[in-house]
Amino acid sequence: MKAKTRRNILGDALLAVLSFFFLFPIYWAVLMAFKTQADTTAWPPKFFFTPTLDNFRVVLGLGGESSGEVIAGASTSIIPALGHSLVISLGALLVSLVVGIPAAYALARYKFASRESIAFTFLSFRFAPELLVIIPLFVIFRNIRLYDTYVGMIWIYQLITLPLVVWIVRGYFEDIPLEIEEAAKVDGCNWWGTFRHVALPLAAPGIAAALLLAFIYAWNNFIFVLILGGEHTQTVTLAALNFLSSEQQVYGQMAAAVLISILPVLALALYGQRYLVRGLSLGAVKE
Amino acid sequence: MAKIKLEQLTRKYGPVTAVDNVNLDINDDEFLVLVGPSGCGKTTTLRMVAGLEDITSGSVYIGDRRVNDVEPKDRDIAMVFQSYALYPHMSVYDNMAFGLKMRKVPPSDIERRIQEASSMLGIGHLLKRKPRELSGGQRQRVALGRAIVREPAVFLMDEPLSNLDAQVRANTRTELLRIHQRVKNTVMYVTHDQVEAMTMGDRIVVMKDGVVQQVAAPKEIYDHPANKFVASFIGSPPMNFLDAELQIKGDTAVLSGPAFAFSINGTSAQKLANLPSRSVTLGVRPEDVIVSGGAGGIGDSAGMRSRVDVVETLGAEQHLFLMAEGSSHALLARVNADYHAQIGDQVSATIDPGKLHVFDRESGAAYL
Repeated sequence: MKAKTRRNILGDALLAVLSFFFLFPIYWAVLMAFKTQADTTAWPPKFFFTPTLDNFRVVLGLGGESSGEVIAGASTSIIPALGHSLVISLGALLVSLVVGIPAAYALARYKFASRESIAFTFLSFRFAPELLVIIPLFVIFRNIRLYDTYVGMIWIYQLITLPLVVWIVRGYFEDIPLEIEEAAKVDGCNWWGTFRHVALPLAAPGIAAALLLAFIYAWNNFIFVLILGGEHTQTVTLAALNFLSSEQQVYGQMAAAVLISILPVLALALYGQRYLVRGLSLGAVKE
Repeated sequence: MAKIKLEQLTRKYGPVTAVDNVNLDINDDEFLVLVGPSGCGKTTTLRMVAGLEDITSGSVYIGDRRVNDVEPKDRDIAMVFQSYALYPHMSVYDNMAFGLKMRKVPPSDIERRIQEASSMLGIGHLLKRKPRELSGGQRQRVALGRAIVREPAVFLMDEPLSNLDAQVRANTRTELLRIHQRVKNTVMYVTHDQVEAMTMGDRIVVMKDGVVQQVAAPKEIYDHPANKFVASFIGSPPMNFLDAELQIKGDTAVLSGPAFAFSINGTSAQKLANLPSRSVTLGVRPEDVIVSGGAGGIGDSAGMRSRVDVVETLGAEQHLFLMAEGSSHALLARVNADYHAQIGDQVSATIDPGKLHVFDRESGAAYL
């Protein structure tokens, strides 16, 4: 009994330390977002200060007093970048949905030559380092004029979203008892009917989980848009960086931009929590 | 509603032959049961008829149509799966309606058929529920209902009762037969349970290792098994087997082993006289073993002197496990409940000569 209590206390303490470790940067970013430029750079760091909404006004393009000068040429509003992020992330999701779900179904249900190799190839997109391919990709994108276009970005984002969709949804399809699909075939469905009326509805939670995860990863991507994107496709992850330069570091505005940019993902994640947990663990345990 | 014909049907998985050259004619409205131990190819055979399994060679005919290359949906069949395979995301009503909607049956017709089937099965009050809210027995009925509303030419059933507990299984068995008499469809029914096979089948197909052993009516299979395997598989408690040497003495055939000797006269003896081999296996159903008590009144070569080893009382009857004197031969006898037997009793076991089965010891083929 005593030992158990001690272990509990120890565990709680450990959790507290870990939570502090992971949550402190977010906490600090929240504080910074409400600080004036002078407060953000104050030493010793200020935990108590008079909060200001100026950073948010600037970042959202509502005027307001910019407490620091912003680099010439860069837009101070992140609204356009939010739009770019949305178009690219949702576009990437849509393509992954249309391509990935049938692929996942085929990989789950049909036996064909080198099935596992194909499945593994999809997975390898996920763990191959982006930096390894980004330079040749840059050259190719330049040459075929995909540099700084939505089409190019959505295409390259498939490296992020497609493997997630394929692998998570495949696991869900494999979990559906084969007999249920056979029952549908006897009941009058061809393969498409079986897929649409039986497999798809039963895998819906998995598809939701996959989409949620894929959206989060797509939204958070930085390197692809940094190298292959430009003014027309700049996403929020990149826009936040505009507040930092060699001449000036507008930490407050950057923090505000970051906070705004994580809001959609945070809302989605909270909303889809139950799908997420299953999606993550399923992907982990399967095979 | 339709005949089924299987012609030299074979299914191979690599080097393994799961179904080996099966020929079968299933009549209109016949209830045909495929029975055998697991892995005998009965389910594979059924799935080939359904179109869910590729056919390596041979043909399947439903009605007059060769259906080898016909999609399952176009074969006019309905199937009840062992796991029921209900659509988890649909209500009971939608489960039953699904096949009809796929076939573009008019909605009023769908409604009527589901009402009829659900009242016949006693699931009318469950129509709005989802499968996960139902008990095993109820799910089984829904699966059955889903097949019935389709009004198919052929019902295929793959161990539909094996996931039910004993009481529900017995009830559903009776009910299935009642439904079959009302609906009058051709049924192919797969089971590993010989009781189901005996009680339900118009005819029984016994399979082993992908090969059909015997096709016959239950009574015929029971009384005249084609070989030792069929004899051992059908019947509970199972048939007794004793290795014996055959001797012909005039008109009498004597089957004897180290601890027993059974004499047979008449036509059976004449048949035995013509056997190619003298080393045979004797088969006796437990109910055909005649037990007479005490040491007196037993002739020298009459039957088997034995000791009662175990007594199992089942109420209506008793099972006596008899050990032959001075040997390890055991014999199971089924006797009346009022027969008085105690462990250790010395008894004599004889056999009704007309009920004796004789098999070739090597091949297991039945001689008698």
